[in-house]
Amino acid sequence: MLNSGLFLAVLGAALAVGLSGVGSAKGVGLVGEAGAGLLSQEPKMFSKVLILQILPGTQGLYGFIIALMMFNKIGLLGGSIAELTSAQGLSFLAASLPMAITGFFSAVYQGRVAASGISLIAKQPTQTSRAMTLSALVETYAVLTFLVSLIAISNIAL
Amino acid sequence: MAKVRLVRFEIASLLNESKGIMEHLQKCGYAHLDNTQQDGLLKYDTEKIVHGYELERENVDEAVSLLEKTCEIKKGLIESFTDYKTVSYDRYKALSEKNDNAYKVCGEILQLEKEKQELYCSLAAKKQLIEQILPWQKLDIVMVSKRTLSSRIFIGTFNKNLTDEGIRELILKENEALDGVAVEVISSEKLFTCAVIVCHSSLAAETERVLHTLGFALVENPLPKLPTKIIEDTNEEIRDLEYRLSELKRQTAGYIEFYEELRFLSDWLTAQIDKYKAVELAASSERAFFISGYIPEKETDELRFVIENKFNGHFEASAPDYDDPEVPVLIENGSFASGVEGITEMYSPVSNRDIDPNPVMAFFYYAFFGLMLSDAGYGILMVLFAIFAEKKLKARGSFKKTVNMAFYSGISSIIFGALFGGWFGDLVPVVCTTFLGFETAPDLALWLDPVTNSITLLVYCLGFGIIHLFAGLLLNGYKLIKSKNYTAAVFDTLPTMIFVCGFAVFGAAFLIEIPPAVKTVGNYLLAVGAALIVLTAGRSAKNIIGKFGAGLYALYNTASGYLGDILSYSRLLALGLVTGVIASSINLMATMPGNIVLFVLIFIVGHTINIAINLIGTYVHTNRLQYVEFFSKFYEGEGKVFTPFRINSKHIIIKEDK
Repeated sequence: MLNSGLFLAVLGAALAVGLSGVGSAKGVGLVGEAGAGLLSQEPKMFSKVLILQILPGTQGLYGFIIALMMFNKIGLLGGSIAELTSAQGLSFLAASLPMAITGFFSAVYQGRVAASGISLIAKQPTQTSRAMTLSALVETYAVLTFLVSLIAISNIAL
Repeated sequence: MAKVRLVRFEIASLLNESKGIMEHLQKCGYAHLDNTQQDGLLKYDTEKIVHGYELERENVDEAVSLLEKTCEIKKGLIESFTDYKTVSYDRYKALSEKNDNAYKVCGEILQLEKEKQELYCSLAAKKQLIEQILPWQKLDIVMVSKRTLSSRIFIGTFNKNLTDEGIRELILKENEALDGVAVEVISSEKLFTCAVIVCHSSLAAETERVLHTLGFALVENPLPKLPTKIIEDTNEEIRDLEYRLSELKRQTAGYIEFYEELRFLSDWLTAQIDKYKAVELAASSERAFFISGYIPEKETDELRFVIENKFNGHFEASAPDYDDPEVPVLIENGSFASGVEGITEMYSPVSNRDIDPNPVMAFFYYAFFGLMLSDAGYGILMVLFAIFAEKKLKARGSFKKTVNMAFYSGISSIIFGALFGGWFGDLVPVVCTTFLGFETAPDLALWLDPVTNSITLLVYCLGFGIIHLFAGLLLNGYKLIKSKNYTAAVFDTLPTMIFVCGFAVFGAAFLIEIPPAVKTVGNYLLAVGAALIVLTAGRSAKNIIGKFGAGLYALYNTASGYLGDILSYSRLLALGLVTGVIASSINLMATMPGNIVLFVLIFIVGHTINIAINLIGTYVHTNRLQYVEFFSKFYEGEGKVFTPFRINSKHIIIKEDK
C-alpha cells in the first residue's frame, strides 16, 4: 500500500536538498568559470578566487540539513519510520518549500554577484573583502528561509 | 584608544647632510614621510636611478632563482617563511660593502645562463634533425644522390601510406611510358612514405612532372652523408652538447656559496629603491635640504637629538592637523585586538575621525567565529596551527596578525564547541556506541544541543546580535561625546536602544515563553522608545511639522533597519548547525562499513573538507556581521595608513641595536 504521507515528506526533503543543490551547483559553476578566466592571467589569485567560488555553495548545505532534519524527525535514519498521515506529509512538503525555492534562486543570484566579484578583484585585488561582503548579502535570505523551514519541521506534530 | 599619538616634524639641513638624514630615517623605520612642497623649493627627480636599481634587482632575483633551480634548493612552505637572517644595522652596512662581489657573481651566473640557453637551442635543433632522418635509416646511398651515369635518382616523400607496387601503379596511371621506373619504399607510416625513385636519364623530365602531380616532395636540405652516418654523428654532437651543458650547470652550482650574498643584494637594492623613491618626497634649495612627515610622539626627542647634533640640522615638531585627510593613522594593539586589524583594514583603514574599532570588535569577532564554527575539535586544530606558525614559522607582519586571529578564534571555537557538545561533530558518542559497545551515548553538551534546541539558541543568537549592535551604537555615542556633540550622543543612541529592547521582548515572545511581567516592561520600553525617537530624531528640521515628520520617518527606518539587522544574526545559528550536522553525517558515513581503517580514512577526508568549507563560510560571515551590521553604526574609515619609510627586507631582519 502506498504510504502517501511518507511519500510527500520524502518528496519535500528531496526538493529541499535537490533544488538548493542545483542552485548551488549553478552558482558555484558561474563563479568557477569567471575564476578560471582570471587564473589564466593571475595564478596567484587562487585562494581569493576559491573563497568567492565557495560562497554560493552554502545553500546546498542548508538544503542538505533540512533533508537530514526531516529524515531524523520521521525516523528514516535508523529507528522505526513514523506512520504519517497525508496531512502530515503535506505539512512536511510545505515546510521544505521555503528552503527549496529560495535556496535555488538565492544561490544562483549569489553566484552572479560573486562572479562579478571576480571581475572586481581582477582589476582591484585589494577589494576581495568587499566582493565577499556583496555576495554574502544575498545569502541572508537563504539563511532566513532555512530557519523557517527548520522551525516548521521541528514543530510539526507527529 | 589604540591609536598612537603622532607628531608632525619638519627637518631642514645643509644639502650635504641629506644622504645621512635619509639613511638615518630609513634605519629607524618609524617615520611616515609626506610630500614637502613650498614655492621656490626644488623637487628631486629620481625616476632614472630607481629604474636602474629595479633592473639590477630583477637580474639579481633571476640569478637567485637560477641558483635555486640548479642546486635544487627546495624550499617548502615552512622554510619560505623562516629563512630570515637576523643582522644588526652595522653588520648590514658592512655587508653592503661587499656588494660589488655579488654584482660580479650575478653577472657571471646570468652569462652562464645565456650560454646554457644557446646550448639548449642547438640541442633541440640536433634532436629535431635526428627525428627527420630516422625514417631514412635504411637508405644505403648518401642523401644528396641525384644521378648516376645513365640514371636519375629522386629521394623524397609522399604524404600518404604507399607500397612499391602502389607507387608504380600511380606512376603508370599518369604515363604508361614510364614503365622502366624503379621504385623503392624506404619506410612508410600512416600518412607518410619515404621512397627512392630511379629512372633512365632520358625519362628524367617526364618522371619529375609525374611525381610532382602525385604530390611527391624531394627531401629538403639533404646532407652528403649516409643516413646512418648522420644519425651517428648527430648523436655524437648531442653527447658533446650535453656534456658542455652539465659543465655549465656545474659551474653555476659552484656559485652557491654566494647565495646568501645575492639574496642580501636583492634586499639591499629594495632598500635603495625605497630610499630614492622617498627622496622624491623631499625638497631642496640651492644649499638646503627639507623633509617632513609624521612620527610617533615618543620618538620625537630621539630624532630631534640626532638631527640637531649629528647632522647639524633644524628639527621642528608640531601637533598634526587632524582635519587634513593626508595625516596618517598608526594603530597599535596587543595580540588580542591586533588579530582583527587586518579585517578592519580590508574594509577601510581607520581615519582620524574614527576611534580604533579593533579592541571592541575583536571580542565580538572571536565570539561569533566560535559560535559559527562551534566545534571544539576544529578549534583545537586552529590553535595548534597558530602555535606552530608562531613557534616554527616565526610569523611576522600581517601574517603574524592572521596567526593571532586564528589563535583566538580557535580558543573561542573550543569554548562554544564544548558548550554545544561538538567535538569533531558527534565523534565521541559515535565511537562509544559503535566501537566501544555503550548502550547510550554520553551527552557532552555543557550548555545545550543546538540541533534539538535550535529555537532557544536562535533567540540567544539574536540576543548576541543586539548586544553587538548596541556596542556599535555606544561607540558612536562615545565618538560624538569626543567631538563634544552631547545632544546627539544622547538622542542618537538612547531612544534607539530603549526601542530595540522593547522590540526584542515583543519579538522573542513569538519564539519562546516570556514571563508576563517582562512582557509588560517590554511593551512600555517599546512605547517610550518609539515616542522618544519620534520626538528627537527630527530635531534638525526647521519647523514643528518637519520635526514630527522626520521623527516618524526615523521611527520607521529604525524599526525596519533593526529588524533586518537583528535577523541577520540568525546566521550564527545556521552556520553553527551546518558545521555540526555535516560533521555528524561524516561520522555516520564513516561508521557505516563498521571497519576501523575505513572509519579513520573517511573521518580524515570528510572532516578536512568540512573544516575547509566551514572555515571559509565562517570567516566570510563573521566579516559580514562586522562590516554590514556593526561598522554601519559608527565607523567611517577611508583613513590613510601610516606607512613608515624603512628597510623592507625579504631575506634579512635588521635588529635594532640601541
